[in-house]
Amino acid sequence: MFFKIKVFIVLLFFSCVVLSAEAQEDFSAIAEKTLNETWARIIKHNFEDKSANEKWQNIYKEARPGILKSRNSNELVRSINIMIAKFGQSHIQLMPPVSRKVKKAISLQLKTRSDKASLSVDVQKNVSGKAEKAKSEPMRGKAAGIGLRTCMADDKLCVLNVVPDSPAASAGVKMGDIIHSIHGFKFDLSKYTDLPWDMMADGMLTGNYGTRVSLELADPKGELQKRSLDRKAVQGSWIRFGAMPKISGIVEYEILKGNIGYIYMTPCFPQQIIQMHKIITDKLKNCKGLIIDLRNNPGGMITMAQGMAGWLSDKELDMGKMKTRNCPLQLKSYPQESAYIGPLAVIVNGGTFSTAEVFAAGMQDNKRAKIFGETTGGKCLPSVFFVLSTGYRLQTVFGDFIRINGERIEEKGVKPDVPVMSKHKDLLSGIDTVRETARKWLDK
Amino acid sequence: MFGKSNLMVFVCLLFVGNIVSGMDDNAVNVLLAKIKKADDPEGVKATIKTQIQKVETIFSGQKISTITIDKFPNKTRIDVNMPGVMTSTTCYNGKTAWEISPATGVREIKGKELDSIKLDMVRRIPSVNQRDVFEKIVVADKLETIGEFKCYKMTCTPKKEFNSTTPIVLYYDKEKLLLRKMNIVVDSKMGPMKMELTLEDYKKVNKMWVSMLSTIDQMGMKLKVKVLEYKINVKVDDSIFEKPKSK
Repeated sequence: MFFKIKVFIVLLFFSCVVLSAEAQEDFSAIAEKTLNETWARIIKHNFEDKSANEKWQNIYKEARPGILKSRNSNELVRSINIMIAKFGQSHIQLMPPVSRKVKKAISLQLKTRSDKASLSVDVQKNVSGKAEKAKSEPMRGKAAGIGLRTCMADDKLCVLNVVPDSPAASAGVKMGDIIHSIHGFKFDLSKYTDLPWDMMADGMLTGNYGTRVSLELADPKGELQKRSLDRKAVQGSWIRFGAMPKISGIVEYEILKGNIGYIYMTPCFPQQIIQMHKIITDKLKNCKGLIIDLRNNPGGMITMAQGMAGWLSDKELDMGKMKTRNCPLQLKSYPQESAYIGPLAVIVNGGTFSTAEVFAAGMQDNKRAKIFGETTGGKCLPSVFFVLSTGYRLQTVFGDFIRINGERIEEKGVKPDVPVMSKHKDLLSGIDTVRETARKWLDK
Repeated sequence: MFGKSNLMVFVCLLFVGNIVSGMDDNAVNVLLAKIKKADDPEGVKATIKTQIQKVETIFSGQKISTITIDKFPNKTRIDVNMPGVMTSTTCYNGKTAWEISPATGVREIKGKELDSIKLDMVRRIPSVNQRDVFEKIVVADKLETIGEFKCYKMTCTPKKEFNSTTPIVLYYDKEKLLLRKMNIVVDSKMGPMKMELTLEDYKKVNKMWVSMLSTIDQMGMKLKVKVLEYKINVKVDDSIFEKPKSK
């Protein structure tokens, strides 16, 4: 009986993020218990024995008195996450027991964004302003956006594309418009230039169907315009996976000039891989080449990297190793007879993380695809979620990915074969610079 | 040539060797016969041709339901469902095994992973004799404590035909002779993975003692697995163990 379930443990890895909090009584006891369990779990599961690691011990000892002074859940989560950030490993974070209202998260962020670590942990996802009652009952609770995606172009947070007939399109939002704020959260890009602002903005634009997003945009003339748009561009059901905060999935496709297929997808969960495969089979199988766009893809289940690779190559690809404290695990693709075997380009950026990075690295190392865009985020440690006895949720690391050339992805990221960045001038002309570069390569 | 540290290791190995040299073969055979009767006092296992077991686990807040259908001696199918996330089926028809998932397609299971399934299948045949599976069974003299039980520690090396040299360690409690713990290395699709299985809450089902709750410890992470249903000798068609059509 035991045999059957073993495979599922290794499936439970992703990147993702997020926050929340509720006040508690007798908080000092809760804070101490949560900290003790957090520390014990992190040490127990890490792929390297950190129990005697001087740097980690010192960070913990130094942070402990301050953490124990936390007066409420917000302070506790924030202070523990600041300590965790100092360990220098991605995919470790503490989350409160119950998701708090997004508005609270944003306002907290506005008050306390003095620390980069807490910012990166806190702002992602879960966003949004006042929830409006969904007018269309069947859509209630579905994940939806306003029909636009963002990108960084020339150090500006820009609109990358606008879905036809979406709320954004109806409101006259255009490619190349510059986003200044979402829900009053001003994107001060001069600070923390290495943060994936576009990924965070995409997350903030997503919420429950029918809820409202307020944003400030500058049009090509530089005129600032305030928009308040309902989220009615349906992205499908929320992905709920155990203790992980919910996340929305998007899979879009297009046939570009020169009969080049294009798929944008995020994140890497089974639903997205199934959709990707179906789109390729039904719509794009005769395309001359295919682009898989993984920009701002936070990752997902690790086996989905192997699954994706299997739909895109009929040969078994060695995708590297996952180092754990007990044993190294091999990552190989699951080649499928019906795989797309035409020329392939993969687009990545600084918001491409985790499973999406493993996939990109595997495609690059096996020379199955050419990688376009920017170096990926380099946050690529397999992790697992635990619910602590106090109800707080801990995501912690138990492995490390090693590419077939022996290099780590963590911290380094995956470097593109063709480095190319979005250009604001191109966006204003309706051109996605990165996608167009990949398209031209495939069209040759 | 023989440094102090080497000598120490050598002496320690001798010492350990003495401890685990254990019972002679006859005594082991007597113990095995008692163990066989312990969970099956009425000899039901010899009549089992098929079995269906439904189990459920919650890991990291995620519910995972598993249905295992066995048709002895050599067919098995495992359907795993993580509601709202994914489904996966593994089937073995006595010769070939496949893993099928809508997200990752169809994968034929080969090599050591297939050997591991074959060994698991044979080992789980209800009426099987341990001696038919393992070429060497060593019972340690010293009892080990597993939870509240004093247990025999039985180190079992599979026969060569199973292409596995890694022993399986079984712990049977001295009083009731029920299996309380198992240590095993499973050859998964990602390579060998150590696992520890602890069994508890034995209840009489179909006149046999069946563990209704077990804990799997893998890479330091624990899963509690609860048995929801256990049926025997249900009619099962052979076709469910065959490779599904590739989509």
